[in-house]
Amino acid sequence: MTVSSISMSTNSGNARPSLTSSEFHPLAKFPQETREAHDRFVVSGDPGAIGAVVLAVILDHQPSAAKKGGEAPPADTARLIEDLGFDSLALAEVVFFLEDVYKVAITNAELQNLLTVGEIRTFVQTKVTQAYGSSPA
Amino acid sequence: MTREVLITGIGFITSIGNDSATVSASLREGRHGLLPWDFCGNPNVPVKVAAPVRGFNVDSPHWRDWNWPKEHNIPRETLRGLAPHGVYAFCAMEQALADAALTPADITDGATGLFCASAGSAFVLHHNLTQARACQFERGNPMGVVTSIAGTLNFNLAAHFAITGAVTGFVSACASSSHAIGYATDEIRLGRQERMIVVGAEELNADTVLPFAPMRALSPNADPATASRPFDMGRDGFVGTGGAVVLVLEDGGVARRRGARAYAEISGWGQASDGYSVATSHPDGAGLREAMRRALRDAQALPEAVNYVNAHATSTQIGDKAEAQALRSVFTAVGARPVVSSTKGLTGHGLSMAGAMEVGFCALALREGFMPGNAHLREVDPVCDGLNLPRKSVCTQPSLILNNSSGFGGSNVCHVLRPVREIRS
Repeated sequence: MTVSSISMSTNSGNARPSLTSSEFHPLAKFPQETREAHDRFVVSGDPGAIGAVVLAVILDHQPSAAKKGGEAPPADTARLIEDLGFDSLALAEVVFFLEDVYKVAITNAELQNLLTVGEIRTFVQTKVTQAYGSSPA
Repeated sequence: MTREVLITGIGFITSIGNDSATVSASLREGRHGLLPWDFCGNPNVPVKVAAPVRGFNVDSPHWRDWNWPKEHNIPRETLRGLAPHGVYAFCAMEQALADAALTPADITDGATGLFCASAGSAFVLHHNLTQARACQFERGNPMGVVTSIAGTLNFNLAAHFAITGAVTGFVSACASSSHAIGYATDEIRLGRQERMIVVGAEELNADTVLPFAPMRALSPNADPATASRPFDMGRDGFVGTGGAVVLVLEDGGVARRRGARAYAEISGWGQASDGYSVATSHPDGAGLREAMRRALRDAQALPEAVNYVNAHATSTQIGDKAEAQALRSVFTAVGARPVVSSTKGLTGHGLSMAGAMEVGFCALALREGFMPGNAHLREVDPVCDGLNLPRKSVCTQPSLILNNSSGFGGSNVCHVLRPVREIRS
């Protein structure tokens, strides 16, 4: 199933408690291009499509106080904590979020080596390729 | 002399209004907040009515799905740690600070503390644990603990608002926020804090409310106009509500120096336990009777001086009967006949939030000169003989108010409120 086809559990007004949370996809509220990138990965298994998703997830979790707005996407060498204003919880959230998207587990030992945007992207691409080979769907 | 404790700000996110003016009008006009309600899509569930908050949608366990009134800006790094009822609490807190004419910078110097009360979020806890169990605990949401356990309100609000004074939470079920108010009053009286923010909040969802159904504590009545009717012969259980109420309590000297406009003075409080049953009230209301007497002693007031009582009465057979008997012992036995009403006829029962919500109602009544009535009361239970239970609100200035709360295990808490004293020159 592709992300764009997933029915979202969004309601408006005074709706009843959502009964569709099991269908919720972590990327459901992300921009169209992120969801399309993920769809590309799901369909083709292209590890290259993972990069756009990882970057979107990192930017989504960046604390708002650290966001200046309007700046260019962070370089691969940008460190999440020192350069992008992350705290350890926000970093843990990024990791959990990516684990949830790709259904992989990232250990504390692996986490210690993930400091920059580029390191996270490469690690996730490797981990996902290991987990799914070339055809995760 | 004991320090004066004033209520200088209130924030309401309730089924009968999301601001003081609307809440006040609902109380005066007897407008209830109950609606037909489908908790979980199962027609066999015998609970058909609830009192929801309007203007929010926090029905999903995922914060990205949530909506709240746009005047409140909840930053992402705060939102990630909140339970659904934390969103109510955040908005009520901003409202209370604005009402008290305080800026966020005014509460960060250590002179302000924060006491909170909620049961936590069974809903989010269940979601997170289901997710964790599905992968045999190999993965989990790093915010899972702080978003869900009892204490989630104080963790989040203290961090967001940079509160460096006394911060803790209270867990005594339906007496929780009343305990928080009592101990917050003491923090100020003892000179430990100049100002205390008290928060009571709960969620309205299947996970929070429906576990009360097997206890036979929830009304099976499908009619919103009669489902919650405290002290009525036909009462058959309580109706659930969610929301948040935030009170700003302040040392009288501090409040007066900064020109704050106060609603009421908290002139005493008391508590006593039934020591009787884990879940049902003492049949004679023994603990509640003692709590009322202790509160009056603390306030140095006689029962005859009280002219309004906001009862805890939730519309259950056993609880309302116990409270009626306790009220008769304290008041009727000495010839006193204060107006007694349970505002839960309008709001349903807010569990941990109930005490803060009803102290908020009492504060409005004191400042605006009225007493709420007993909505939906038709046939008064004879156990209430001698109690003055008007159906409609009364346009009488309260001179001294008693507010009751009772929780599981027989915890009973009672506050005494009075009008703000004239400034002594």
